[in-house]
Amino acid sequence: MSDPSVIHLTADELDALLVGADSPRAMSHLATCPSCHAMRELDAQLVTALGTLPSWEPAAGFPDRVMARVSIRPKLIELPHARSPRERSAHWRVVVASVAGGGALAAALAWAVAHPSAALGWSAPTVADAGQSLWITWQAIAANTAEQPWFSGARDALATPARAFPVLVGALGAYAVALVGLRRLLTEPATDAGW
Amino acid sequence: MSGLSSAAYQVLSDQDVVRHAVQGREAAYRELIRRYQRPVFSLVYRMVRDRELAEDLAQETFIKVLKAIDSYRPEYKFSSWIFKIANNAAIDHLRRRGLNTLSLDGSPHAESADAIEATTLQIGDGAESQLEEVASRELGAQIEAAIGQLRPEYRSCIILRHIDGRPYEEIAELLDLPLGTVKTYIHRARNELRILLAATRDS
Repeated sequence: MSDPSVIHLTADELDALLVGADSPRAMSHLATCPSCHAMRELDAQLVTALGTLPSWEPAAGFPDRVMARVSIRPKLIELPHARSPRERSAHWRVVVASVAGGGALAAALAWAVAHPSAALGWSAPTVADAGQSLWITWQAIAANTAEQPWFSGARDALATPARAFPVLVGALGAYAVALVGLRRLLTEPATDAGW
Repeated sequence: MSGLSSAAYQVLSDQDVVRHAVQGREAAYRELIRRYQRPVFSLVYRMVRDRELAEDLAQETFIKVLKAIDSYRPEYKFSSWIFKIANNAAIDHLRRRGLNTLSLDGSPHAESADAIEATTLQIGDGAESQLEEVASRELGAQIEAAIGQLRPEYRSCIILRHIDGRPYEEIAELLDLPLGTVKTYIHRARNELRILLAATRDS
């Protein structure tokens, strides 16, 4: 009967011995323990025998049988989009216009930086005139709107939040319906729509 | 990009061949089959012990791999991927049929003497003399039979570790098992094989 105080080789130690990684404890234990020694020998014989087992080959024509059931899809190479002559000429027009516009803007800025007093002298009346024109236009639109026969009714309808709320909801609903309708109008019909 | 010749593919790594296969090169597909038909078939054959069935499962494995070649992730070994699929195919089959243990006497599906003969394992191709060949065939047949009596999980582990020589880590990844479990399975499989072989010798 074996001595219970003896610690036999663990599975990891036996594995290590199989690949030649001998630890001092395992080696000294093997020298004194016949059962571990026998187990190590049997393991080594078994592993050697397993390593000599032949490999097997499928019957001739195996690759052809596999290939017959695999459909190869060549990966399509995406060619760069070729432009038509009309697209090319439009593209060049846009490029030339952009360069001319950008150049003119840059030149104007450069001139304004170089001649700040002259630039301010020219721009101040222009800006003032433009502002005044905008204000007059706004006043004309407001006065014209207030003269409309429906304006008093609309003003009464929006006079209090309680009255304005349903009008607002109705307006939002109409806006949403209009958006959906517009989207449907702009959607291309399906090719199989049966038209 | 022009396609390579079959010979040119032989010097490429698995990853490179797969890259060509993804581009739809038939020669690359065939190269992958050429490289792995033997190891995949051997693994499946040892798992199911029936040549015809092993051919079907190996074929299914390759078809699955080649159809999904686009999804292969090159950071993993191609061999691990294909063996994982092959092993799963074999294990699934064994579970479906409940064939966990097998005999030396040919396929359990063989219904005639010819079928039994055709599906019986032939061992010992590399023996030097006739006597050695007989001894080697007998030992090989005993070991193959003993492997066939192991649980499928033990069988996969022992084949991958001691016949194919794969490291524990790769087996763990391939079988989706923790490393410790793989070590335990292999240790238990060796113990069971020792016992089975000793019993065969005694009888």
